Amino acid sequence: MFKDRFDCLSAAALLLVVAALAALLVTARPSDGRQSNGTPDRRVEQEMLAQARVAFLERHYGPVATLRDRGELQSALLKLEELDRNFPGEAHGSLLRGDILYRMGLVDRAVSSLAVAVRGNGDYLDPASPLNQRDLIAVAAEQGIPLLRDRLRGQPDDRQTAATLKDAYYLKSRLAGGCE
Amino acid sequence: MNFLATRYLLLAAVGLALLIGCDRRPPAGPTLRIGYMNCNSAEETLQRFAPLTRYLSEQVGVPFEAVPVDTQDFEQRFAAGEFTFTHTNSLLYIILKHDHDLQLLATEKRGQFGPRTAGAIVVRRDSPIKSLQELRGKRMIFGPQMAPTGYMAQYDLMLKAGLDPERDLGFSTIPQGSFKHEKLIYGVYLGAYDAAAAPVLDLETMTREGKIAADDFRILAQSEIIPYCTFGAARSADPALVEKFRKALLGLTPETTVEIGGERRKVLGSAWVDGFEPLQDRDYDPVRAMAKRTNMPPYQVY
Repeated sequence: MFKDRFDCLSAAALLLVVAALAALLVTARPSDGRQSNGTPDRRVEQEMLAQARVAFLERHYGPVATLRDRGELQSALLKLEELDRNFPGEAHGSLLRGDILYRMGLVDRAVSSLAVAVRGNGDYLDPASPLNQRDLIAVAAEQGIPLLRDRLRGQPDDRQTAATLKDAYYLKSRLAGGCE
Repeated sequence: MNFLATRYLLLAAVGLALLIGCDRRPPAGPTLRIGYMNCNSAEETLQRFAPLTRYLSEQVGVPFEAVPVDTQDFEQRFAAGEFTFTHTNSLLYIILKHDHDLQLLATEKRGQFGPRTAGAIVVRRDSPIKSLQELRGKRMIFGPQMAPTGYMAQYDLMLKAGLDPERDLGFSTIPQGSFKHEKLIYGVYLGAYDAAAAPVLDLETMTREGKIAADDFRILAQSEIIPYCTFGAARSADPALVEKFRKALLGLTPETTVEIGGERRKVLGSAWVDGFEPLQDRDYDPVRAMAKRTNMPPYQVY
């Protein structure tokens, strides 16, 4: 088996490597940010994504919120039109549009926009999320339902109002949450 | 009947059904006219509304013809019986309702406020003018006189602020030719005028198209939100026909298409419309109040 000294040295080195590997396997622990199966910790990943999303929204949609808070509602809507070109379908645009339309007294239009926002991102209903907008969504849905029901009684073939009423019920259902 | 004969009979039946199904020729019978108020130009109006007119012909079962009409001529031509159906702005609707008992059918949806829109007075973002009061002695450009959100709404805003647009402005004008609303927005943007009477919908559209930026302008004042363009029917029209027309409008979806000029085109997309809503006549009361305050038709007093 061992024909010369070189074979002995090779065997000894091989044994040393195997022993070192065994020791490593026995003593190794998952490092921070990694699970024992070697995949990244999803909680850390999700937290990073959430923080990045909030920073992204603040950077791009912050000027809209500033205009809204200054009472320049129409300018805020125009800014949203501009942002829609760069980020079409972004739920935060729909959320802000719903908020502004609600402040303008257009409850039905606000309900439609808020429903689009919530369908795009459920965080707006999560009390633990920095994006939480439950109060706004609740008040818009509560005010919208009787208004839309009355309108639909007067115009039963008004498909737009029927669709918006469904949106208001959808928001109410999402606010209530699922089975617990 | 043998197998071969049955097969031929089935093929013939399928062929006939396909032929009937594909027959999209305009319905026969006397042609009815729809008067479309010109927006930017007669040519553009015809192009925009050709697919909608074809769709209405197919749905209502009556051949319709689209007629572009100058805003200023609309009432006279309607009174002469030139059109059975009308497509006008909200001011013309209340005039035709008041003077000729026009029936309200449906209101067009377009932009952020759906079937409603507003008028705004804008200045450049870097303008020293910060309030309506500071418009005294300044140069201002308005939209056409019969434009509810390009003229009347802004006139009303100025009256409410204690300004008489005809006496207190240094200079005021209305642009000529087509695309008046865009012209007046560019007029302020390029510095030819200090302020403009801009329809909010045009600001929205131009921002969406990238022609202007939201930060280019400051909105000095904005009117209340009033109904947008409106379909109406003459009181003399057949009620069953009117109901079919109304249902056809309300039944439109963004996916509805018609074949026209060898092309299949989206009806709403071609007309730049998001859909139609059945507003009530009382929803137009704010337009009536504005027309009264600004001494506009149908309440004009000399």
